[in-house]
Amino acid sequence: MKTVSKPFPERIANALADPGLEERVRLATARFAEARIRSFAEWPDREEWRERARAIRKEAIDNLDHYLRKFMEHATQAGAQVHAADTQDDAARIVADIAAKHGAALAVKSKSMVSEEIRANEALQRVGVRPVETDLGEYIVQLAHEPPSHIIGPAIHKNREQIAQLFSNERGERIADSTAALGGFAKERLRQEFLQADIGISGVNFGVAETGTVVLVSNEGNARMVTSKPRVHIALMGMERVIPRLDDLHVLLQMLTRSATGQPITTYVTLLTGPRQPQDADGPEELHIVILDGGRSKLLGTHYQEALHCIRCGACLNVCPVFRQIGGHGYGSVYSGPIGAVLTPLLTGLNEWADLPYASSLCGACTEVCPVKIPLHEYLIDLRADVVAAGLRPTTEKAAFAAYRRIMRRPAQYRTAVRAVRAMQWLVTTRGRIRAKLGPLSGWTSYRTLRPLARESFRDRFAKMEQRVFTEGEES
Amino acid sequence: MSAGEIESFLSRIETRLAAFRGAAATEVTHMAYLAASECDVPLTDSWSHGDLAARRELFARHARARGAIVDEVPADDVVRFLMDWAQLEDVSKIALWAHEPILDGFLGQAPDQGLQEMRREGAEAFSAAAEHAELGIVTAEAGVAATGTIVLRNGWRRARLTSLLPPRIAVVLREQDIVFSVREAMRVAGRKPLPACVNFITGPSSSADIEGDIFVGVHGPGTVKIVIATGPEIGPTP
Repeated sequence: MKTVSKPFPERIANALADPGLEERVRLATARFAEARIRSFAEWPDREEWRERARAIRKEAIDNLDHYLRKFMEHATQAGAQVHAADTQDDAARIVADIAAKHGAALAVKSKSMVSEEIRANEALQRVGVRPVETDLGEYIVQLAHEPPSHIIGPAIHKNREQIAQLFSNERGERIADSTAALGGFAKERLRQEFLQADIGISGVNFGVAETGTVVLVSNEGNARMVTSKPRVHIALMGMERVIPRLDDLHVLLQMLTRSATGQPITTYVTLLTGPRQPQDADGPEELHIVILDGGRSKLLGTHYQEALHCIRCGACLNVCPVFRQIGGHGYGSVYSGPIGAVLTPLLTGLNEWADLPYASSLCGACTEVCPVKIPLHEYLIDLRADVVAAGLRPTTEKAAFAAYRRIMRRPAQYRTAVRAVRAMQWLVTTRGRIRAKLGPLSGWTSYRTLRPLARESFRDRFAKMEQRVFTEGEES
Repeated sequence: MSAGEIESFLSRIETRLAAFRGAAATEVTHMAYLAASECDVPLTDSWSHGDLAARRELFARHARARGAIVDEVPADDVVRFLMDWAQLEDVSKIALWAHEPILDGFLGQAPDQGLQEMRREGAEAFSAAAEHAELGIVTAEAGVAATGTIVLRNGWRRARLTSLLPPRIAVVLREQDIVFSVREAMRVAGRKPLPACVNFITGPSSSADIEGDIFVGVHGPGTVKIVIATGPEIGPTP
């Protein structure tokens, strides 16, 4: 699930060094977050809805075996072909096999995080299929040969000048950087791809167990395009996307769209139950639903099970002070932000991703906005404990905390230590601030200047002050 | 994929959950699990309220807020109204859902390329008609007052592409089909037999992927005109 191979501190340094990145990410996330706040403010019983959404997700995941079986049965009855993939590689192979069987040359895709997870595009290219992303943001990042940087805004890290450059290169002539010119180019180019594609590939926002229905939301209409015109539709679905009934949908839909973009409903909500029926005017002849485990079952029956309740709205990304600084690429994983920092180590192993649980200030804003109440920041603390228990932190950190613990428990030692620091700090102080990189503390001091300790501690000053106790009514 | 492979996939999930749950999965009723999770309070958005006129007004307000054009037209005048609009918009190729009673008047009147292709029927004809049409005309199964959404049940002679490929669409919605909430509309949408494709559509296609700037009509129609048919009914949509 890696999108880059650089070590975490280097990714962060790169992100912070990118001119304007922080500004672009901050503006975009603020826009999403403010839209969400406005949308929830006009919603009087939002907390009841949120509780209901949580209950629905909990029921689905607590009984996932049952509802997934129902979903598979009903989808099959409706004519869909259901595939179960244990691993990301299995899923990619299934997709490539379907494409190869149909002799496909072109696949149009609407946004899917599972597609990123299984590297579907690479698998398709290996069997000679050209994959084209059709969500405008996904199209931009595909041309830039980058992964998406936000669950719902894949290209928020790009400004219009950068987009104009990418589109101009693609067309072979200069395109103005106005929204109309850029959007117009993408529209024209992608429409031809839609009409010629052999295969359409989508994600799945929800899978309804009661009916075997695949539910897709989009504002652009590209999800409708890829599921209406090509002869074959492949829907990529994380196995936890299942919900029990059609009657649950209105709750989760509203939670998803209000949390993501502040909309009470997206422009398009599409309910797909099987491929086209014999009498139908149009629609795909085959519908394949590829259901991915990909490490998700490892969370079941554990303390972290609720992470599977996630409905992928991206609200936690928008409020996260770490995400706002470094953007999605800094995380280096397919899923970024707080939910990514929780999911990635759980799905693919703590060893490789031991840094991610530390990409948080633990302020708790993520937990506060989560529409299904996943205790995200608590999970991050628990994961840190797991990282320490697994011996994945440096020994110097362990020694430092042991020393800290010893000193904090013994006031005399504490005072001695503080005096020692005060006596020595001139070595690293310039113009009244500590600017030097301080060995193991350089993670902090590289980006911050510290104030030195005061010349005299409060305790020392207090001892020298005139000790006089005023009683009520007495004048000083 | 073999049944055995599916079974082993599901049994892995079952084993993990059973250790945690201590029992087999049970399907409980909707209200029972909501009650168990202490959220059985009826939600304000859940049930129809207000009279027809109030729902119609609310629908129009919300649909306009999302960028749709909304007109109220007597049911027996819908075809003439749409023909006038098509002329105003300088449209000559129209794709429409044939065999809808409320649109019957169209078939004799608009001998354009889109319609001719659709009369030949078959998927290729429907697709070609929709691809070249400058206007798509469809009928809604329901309208949602709370959000300004229209619901299309696609299927036999109701092509999905008619409401997707043309740059502008007109949607005829009978006023008595306006419900209050998405939940009620979902019940209408989910009536058995469930079609292979149901669309909920709220305003024109749009994208905010270029610096948050709204670009209308990116893939789907950039103009959505909703015609609320009022007054005496012209038969239910089949």
